[in-house]
Amino acid sequence: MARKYSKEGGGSNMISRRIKALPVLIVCVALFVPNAWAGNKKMMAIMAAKNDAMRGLTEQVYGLKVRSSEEVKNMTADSYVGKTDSKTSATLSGIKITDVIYDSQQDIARATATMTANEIVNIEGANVALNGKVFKHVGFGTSSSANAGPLKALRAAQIDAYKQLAQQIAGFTLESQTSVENYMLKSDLIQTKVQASLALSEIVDFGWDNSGDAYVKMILKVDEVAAMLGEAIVGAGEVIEVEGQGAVQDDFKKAKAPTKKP
Amino acid sequence: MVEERTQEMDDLNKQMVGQIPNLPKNGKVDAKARVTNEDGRIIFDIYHVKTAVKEESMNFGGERQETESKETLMPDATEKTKKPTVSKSK
Repeated sequence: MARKYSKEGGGSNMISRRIKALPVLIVCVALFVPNAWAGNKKMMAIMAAKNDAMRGLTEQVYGLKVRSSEEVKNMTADSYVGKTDSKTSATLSGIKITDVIYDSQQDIARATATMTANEIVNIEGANVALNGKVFKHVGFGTSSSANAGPLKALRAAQIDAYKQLAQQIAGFTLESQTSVENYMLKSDLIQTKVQASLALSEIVDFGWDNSGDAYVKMILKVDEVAAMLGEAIVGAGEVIEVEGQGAVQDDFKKAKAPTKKP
Repeated sequence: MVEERTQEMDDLNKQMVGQIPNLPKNGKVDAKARVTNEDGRIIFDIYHVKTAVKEESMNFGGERQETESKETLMPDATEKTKKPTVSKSK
């Protein structure tokens, strides 16, 4: 019986030791897990920034396909529907990632992708002599969607710049329905469409205004592109410059939302 | 920026429609064009135009009546037959 009691007493001791150990465990978790999360957050943001930088570099060097359509009815801004898709896929080697910076307060990382190449087969299958030209692209990333607004606006501005370049280089289709009243024109429906491949465009400036809306200034040096392709192209001597814009929020989202029938 | 783009599209459309010959005083115009940029000039290659003319007529009772008649100036069948028209960009 005595043994039995002592055995039971040992069991309760073990339970009490475990209960005592519990606060220690909680303290350990409280101390170390947030650090682990912080590290993960930073790494994810940096990884996203690196990927963004590499994507931008691929679009610049190898090229991308752009398809865009716009529509506006009765000249009302809330009826405007603009959609631009971009697509690229390539295997590039020799990309170096430098200048990696992480802002822990905003949870935003920045990285620069750099590449030097002598020759490449671009998105159209054309051999392009790059002659050791150095290409550079700055990318941004974050680990949370809550902080992604300005980065999404920047990407939207970049895609808008691609669309404008495509419209200027390849041209676009304009379709419309117009009313004429006493020789005065009133646009009822306007649609534009463009589809093109772009390569060797360069971002020369980018940034955000106070409201968080982004801009991207992009250029295409026609002579340089012609020399690299080894063939004459339209617009010799020209530097085509565009400025793309991207909004941090959609002011017309509410207006466009479908109304539920009672 | 959406409002700016909407205005740009309206300006572009009015430039294109303004280049279509024999526009009706009142009516509707459907048009399609290939728009290109050459040396800062916008070139409209209009390849389809369809107009619906709203005509005014007087009946014997002295009342003005509006009738609608359709006329096709440049249907799809004659695509690319018209020479491109040129306008200066902003």
